Amino acid sequence: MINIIRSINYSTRKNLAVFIAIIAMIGLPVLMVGMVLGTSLTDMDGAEYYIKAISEAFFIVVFASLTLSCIPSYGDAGDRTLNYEIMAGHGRSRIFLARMISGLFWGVIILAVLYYYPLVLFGCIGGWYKGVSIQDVVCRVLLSLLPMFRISAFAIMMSSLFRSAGKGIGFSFLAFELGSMLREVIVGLMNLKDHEMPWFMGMLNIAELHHIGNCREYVIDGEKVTVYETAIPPYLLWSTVIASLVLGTIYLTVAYIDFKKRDRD
Amino acid sequence: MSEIIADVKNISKQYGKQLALDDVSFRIRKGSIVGLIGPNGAGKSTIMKIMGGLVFPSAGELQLFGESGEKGLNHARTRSSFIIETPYAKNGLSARENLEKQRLQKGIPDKGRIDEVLRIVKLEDTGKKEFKNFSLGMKQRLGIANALLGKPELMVLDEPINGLDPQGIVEIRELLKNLNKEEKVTIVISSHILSELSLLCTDYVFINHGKIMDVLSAEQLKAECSEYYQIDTDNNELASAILTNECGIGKLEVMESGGIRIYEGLERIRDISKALYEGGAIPTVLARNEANLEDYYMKKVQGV
Repeated sequence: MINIIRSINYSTRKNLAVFIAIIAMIGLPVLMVGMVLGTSLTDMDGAEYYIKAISEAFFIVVFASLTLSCIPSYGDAGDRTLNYEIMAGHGRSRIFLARMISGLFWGVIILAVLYYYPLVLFGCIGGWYKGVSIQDVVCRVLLSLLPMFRISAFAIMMSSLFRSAGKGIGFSFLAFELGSMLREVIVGLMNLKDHEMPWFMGMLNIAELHHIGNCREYVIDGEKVTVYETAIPPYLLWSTVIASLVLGTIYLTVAYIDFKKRDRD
Repeated sequence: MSEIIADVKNISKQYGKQLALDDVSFRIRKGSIVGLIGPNGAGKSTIMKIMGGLVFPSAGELQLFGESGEKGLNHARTRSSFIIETPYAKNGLSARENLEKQRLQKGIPDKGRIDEVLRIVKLEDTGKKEFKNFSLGMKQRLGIANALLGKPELMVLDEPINGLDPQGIVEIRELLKNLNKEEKVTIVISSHILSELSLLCTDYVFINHGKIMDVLSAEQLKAECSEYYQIDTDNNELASAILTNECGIGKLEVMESGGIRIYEGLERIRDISKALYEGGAIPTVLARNEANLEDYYMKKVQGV
């Protein structure tokens, strides 16, 4: 299995789409801070980047997530080089496990590093604004790994079913958009508040987890401080955990059964 | 008796309502070169895919190197290599990079093996040229290089000389012969170029409509392929009558493509020629031939 992971990582590192996704993610802070927020990079601190920018470029992040999940896991399905692993005598379960690990590693771990490195970067440059709890932000960042896992698992399932990373990315994005629209329609029609959403509709996107809506102003030692309510509401915590783990596991199980049982013509 | 490397036992494969393989059985001896022969859609690739583990049989059993069952076959496949349908490779990678990916996947520790196999298939000078810019012949060579990477004991090759130029065909034929002779590699090969197979194979499996039509060795094929005289005259209808009535030839064939084949009385060809001349059917062609693999294939598979 290690050999398959090494082989997948070798070709993933040389893949143009992966390269573009990584460059886009690395360049995201410049785009967000310079062009969207209109602030100088040197004037930004970590907390401000988190509050103002982190949830804004969500579509780029989703697209990067899909690319970084689909290409390592099933980028070899379209050109059938994946078949060599079967013909070389690797068991299908091991091949699937190796591909799932690779897809999740690139689509969750690498993506998380690329998504959140600006917090550290701007924290080092401009410090951290005291009105934003750093502990709460760390909790939200760690919790966001779960919806990232769910998105990645969905993308792995789609590319497995369609036997193509390209189709996997395309159809996952479409499904994601439809899911978001459906959620908006349900919220609109039933006049639901966030905490009243059914669990499986909870946390369709990471942006929600990072959206800090409320803040209060205090005067501390004669200085006006805006304190953001960053604590994670319990409904958000549980819907994120349950929806991500249950649905993520279902997606990966479907992908496994398909890979294990279906002929590879 | 030679060791059996592959034993295909009563294998059937159903795709929906279509029966791609129907109770197929044959054995492959160690050290043999087996030609899998049949028209398009006969089931050759399906057999190879089942051997490679890409397709599950609907019924029957496969043994490779005496092992069966999922685990056993996977273990046996580590001693084998396959090229099925087309040589798969990553478009954006060079020949060396494609082989490096496969080297990692197969867990081959020796990096120098890549240079060795590139030299063997004469692709050592392709540099950074990407696979998508390769000619069909180069792609085939890379497929063979990939198949050689793990020093297999069994090679299963589906149309490996497809797209090669004449020189390339000769080189690959010699390479396969050498591997078979020097390294004792058992080879299963399919090709539409029957003349090539006849220069290479020690055994033949004829397949059509998913059924085995015949399994025979090169010696058996030679015995089956009788010698004959190809005769052409300015009046073949008359010639046919003379050959039957005056020369007493019972075993003859009037070919649709022109000419007559006689399978007996070959030692009396001077008398036959004289009889035709005197009977008014002037011979224009008199050639001694031997039926070849192509003739046998046409007879067995196409029923011609």
